[in-house]
Amino acid sequence: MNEMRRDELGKEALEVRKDVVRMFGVAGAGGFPRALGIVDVLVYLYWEYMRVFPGERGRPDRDRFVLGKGTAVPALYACLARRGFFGRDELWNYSRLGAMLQGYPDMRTPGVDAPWGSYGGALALAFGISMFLRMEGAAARVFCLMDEEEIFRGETLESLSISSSNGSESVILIVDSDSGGKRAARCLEGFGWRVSFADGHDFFSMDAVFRDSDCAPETPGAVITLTASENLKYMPGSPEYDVPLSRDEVESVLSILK
Amino acid sequence: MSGNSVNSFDGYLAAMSTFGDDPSGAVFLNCGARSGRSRGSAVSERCMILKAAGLALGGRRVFLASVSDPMFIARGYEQIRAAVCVPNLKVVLLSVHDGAELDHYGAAWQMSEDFALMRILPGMTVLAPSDRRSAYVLTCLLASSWEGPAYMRLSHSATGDIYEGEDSDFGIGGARLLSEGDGVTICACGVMVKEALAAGEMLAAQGISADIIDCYSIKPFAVQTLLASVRRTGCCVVAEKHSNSGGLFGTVSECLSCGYPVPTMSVSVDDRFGQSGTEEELREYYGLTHREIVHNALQVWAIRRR
Repeated sequence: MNEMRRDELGKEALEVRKDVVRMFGVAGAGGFPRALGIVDVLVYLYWEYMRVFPGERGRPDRDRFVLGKGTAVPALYACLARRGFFGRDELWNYSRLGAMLQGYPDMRTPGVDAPWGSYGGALALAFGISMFLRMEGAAARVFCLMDEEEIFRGETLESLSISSSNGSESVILIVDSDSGGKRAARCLEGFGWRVSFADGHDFFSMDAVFRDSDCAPETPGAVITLTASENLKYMPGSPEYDVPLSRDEVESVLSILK
Repeated sequence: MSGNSVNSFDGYLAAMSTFGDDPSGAVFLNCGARSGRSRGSAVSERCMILKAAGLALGGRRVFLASVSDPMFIARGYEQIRAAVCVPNLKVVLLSVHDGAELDHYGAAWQMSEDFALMRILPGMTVLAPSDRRSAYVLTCLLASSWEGPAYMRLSHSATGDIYEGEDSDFGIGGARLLSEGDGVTICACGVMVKEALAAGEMLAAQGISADIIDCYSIKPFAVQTLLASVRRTGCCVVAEKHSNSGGLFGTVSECLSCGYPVPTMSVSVDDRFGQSGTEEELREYYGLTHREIVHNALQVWAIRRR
C-alpha cells in the first residue's frame, strides 16, 4: 500500500463516518461511537483486503463477513451502500418499520453474509460458513469481527476450543478492542491461535498485519484491531453512549469530522 | 413519579428497595450493569442463573434480572430448567420488555415467546402485572412467601395506574375483574390491560358490556374466574403482547376447551418474528391495540354461545 492509496481509503472512511452519523441522526438512535470505532477496519477490509463483488452477489468465491458486534451494524450498512451493494437512500430508513436495514444484521440486506446469531455466536457461525466453503471447494475466506468482550462468552470459548478440528482454516478473526486487547490475546493464544495487533485507525498498520497473516495459514489467526473509543472525541463531556443525537449534535459531529 | 408515565417496572423497583436492605431476605442479582458501553458485555447470564440456583440451594430467595432481558431466558433455558425448575428452587426470573431500545434492534432482541417457554416448565409460576401497584404487590409476595421458581415479565412502557395505591388484592394464581358485563369476556395481561379497558369503553358505546379480566397470573391461572365469566358472556377475546402460541391465549384456550368451550379469538403477535421500528409503530403493525380488541370482540359476540 502506498500513501496515495492510504489517502484514498482515508477519504472513503470519512464519507462512511459522515453517513453513519447521519443514519443515527435520522433514526433517532443512540450508540453511534460504537459504530464509528470500526469504520476504518471495515473500509480497509471492504476496499482493500476482502474479495467482494457488489455486482455479482451470489459469487461462490467471494469472501464472507460475519459481524458479531451487532450494535455497530450501521457502519457495515454505510460501507455496503458506498461499495455499491444497494442505494445510499436505504441508509436513511435504517431501523424504521419495514426497512431493509434492520437494527441488527439481517439476511434481507444485500451484501450481508450472516445474520446476528447471538451474542458471542459469530465465531461458530463463521466456522460453519468456512466448513461449507471447504465442502464446496471454494477458495474464499471468512472474516469475523467481534467485540473484545465477546471473546469471553461461552459460545466463543467453546468455538475456540474446537477450532483446530472444525473448519477454522479459512476464518480470520478480528477482535475490536478499545482497551489494549491484552486479555483477548492471552485467551486466544491459550487456545493456540496466532495473534497479531494492528492499529485499527491506521491503514498501513492493518495492511502489514493482514498481509502477514496470509503467510502462515496452518494455524488459525486473529487480528486484534486497537480502536479508540470515539465518544469523547465527538461529544465532549458526554459519557452516555446510548442517547440519541439531536439535530444540532449531528451537525456538530459532522463539522468535527470535516 | 406519578400520572401516566409510570409502569410495572417502577412497582418492582419500589418493592425491591423495601426488601433490598434485609440481610436475611431476598437477594437481588443483576447480570451486567447497564453501562451503555456494550449491550450485554460481560453479562454471563448462564453463569448467573447457576449462581442464583446456588444461592437458592442454601435457602435464600433470589431475584435475577439481566440487561439482556428478555433474551436471557432463552439463552439460559437449559440452566433454568435443570438447575432452577427441576430442584424447584426459589428463584425469580425477571424480564423487562423495554420499549424503545429493543424495538429499534428488531427481531434479534424482541421476544414474544417468553410466556410459552416459561409456562411449559413444570412448577414454574408465570406473572405479567399490568401496572405499578400490581407489580409492587406481586414482587412483595414473591420476595416474602412464595415457594418455587417464578418468571415475571415487567415493562418500561407507560401504562398509568390501573389500581389504587393501597390495593393489595393480588395473589399468585389470582385474576382481577376490572369491569363486569354480560356481552363479551376480555382476558388481558401486562401492557394490554390498558388497551382492554379502552376497548371496553368503545364496546360499551356500541351496547356491548365487557367483562374485563386482568390475568396477571398466567400460571397458576384463575380458571374459576374465567369460567364464571364466560358462562355469563358466552364468548371471549384474549389480548397479550406475546405470540399467539403458548401464552395467555394458549392458557385460556386450554381452560375453555376443557371447562366450557365458547368462541374465542386472540389479539397477539401471529406466527412470525419482530422487526425494527418504534414501539408505537410495531404495536400498530402487529395489531396490539384496543381497536383490534374491539374488532375481535364484535366477531366473537356475533357467534357467542347462548
